[in-house]
Amino acid sequence: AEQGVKTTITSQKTVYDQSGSKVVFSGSVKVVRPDMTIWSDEMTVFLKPTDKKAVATPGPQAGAVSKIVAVGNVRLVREGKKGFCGKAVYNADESLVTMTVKPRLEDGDNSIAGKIIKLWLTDNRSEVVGGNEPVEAIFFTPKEGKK
Amino acid sequence: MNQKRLFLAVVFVVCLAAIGYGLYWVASHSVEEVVEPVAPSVDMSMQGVELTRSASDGSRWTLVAKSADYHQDEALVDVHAPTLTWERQNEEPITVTADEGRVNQESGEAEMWPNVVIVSGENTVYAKQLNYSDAKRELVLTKDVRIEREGMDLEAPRVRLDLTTNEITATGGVTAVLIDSKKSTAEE
Repeated sequence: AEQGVKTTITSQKTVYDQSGSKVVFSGSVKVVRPDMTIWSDEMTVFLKPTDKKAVATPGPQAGAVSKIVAVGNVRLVREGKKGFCGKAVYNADESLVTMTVKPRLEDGDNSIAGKIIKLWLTDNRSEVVGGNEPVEAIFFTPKEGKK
Repeated sequence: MNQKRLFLAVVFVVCLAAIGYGLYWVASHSVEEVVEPVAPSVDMSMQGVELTRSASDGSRWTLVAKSADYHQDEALVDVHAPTLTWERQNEEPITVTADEGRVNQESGEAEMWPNVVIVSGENTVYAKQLNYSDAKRELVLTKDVRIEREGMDLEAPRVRLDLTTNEITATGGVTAVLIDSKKSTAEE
């Protein structure tokens, strides 16, 4: 069976609505996954309903997470690259993180900003959407003769 | 003749004195003897107990225990190996088990400890101490509280279950481990 990804979340407080399958973490929220770490003020995790039938029959283990929404001073670190924004939404089925509210990516001295930044985790690809404002990219090239 | 009268008079006085003393003795002792009997405190011990209590909103909790000791003065019931079931309309029942429990029949409060296990829908909650308040309609769990649900384990020092909104609030530093079915890119 496909192994699930272990996501560890720590926070000061958590409110869990048993029937609505939603868990809200607040206060110094930190999420640690094998491929990414996220910090934010508040985070809501949407859980998939546990399918009693699926549990009884063999097959991929039903993952709990369907979506994670991080809000407030969001910071991501992934393979050395950093991301900053006001809001980030992780969609588990698409393995896609969508960053909005002044999103910015930094890779060393290079940075790129836009209206929306999409990080496709599976094929390690990013997409920056400018919307009605131009995408702003800053690249540093090493000086002449500097090896 | 005088001696005979004198003798009779003395006899008469002695008898009077004797009767008087007798009456005095009876009166003084009888007052002390008649002591109001103190009703012994009613301590009852029962085996195989079932207690049911209904709330105004139609919900009902039932307490079943292996044995129970009833302290009338304090309106307390100590229960051993209790199982508390909370049934509500249109909701799945909540079941609570523990090694020991105590119910305060006057305040409607109860506590259970240790090895507290709560099953509520898809969730199983473990703790060492549980306090239940009828008035606040809440369960408060403390000491190594852990919530398990398929794909998620959550630990916290204090968890409150609001029986009106069904909301579980964990405070004091929470750690949750979730399993996401997608393979992480780091592992590819």
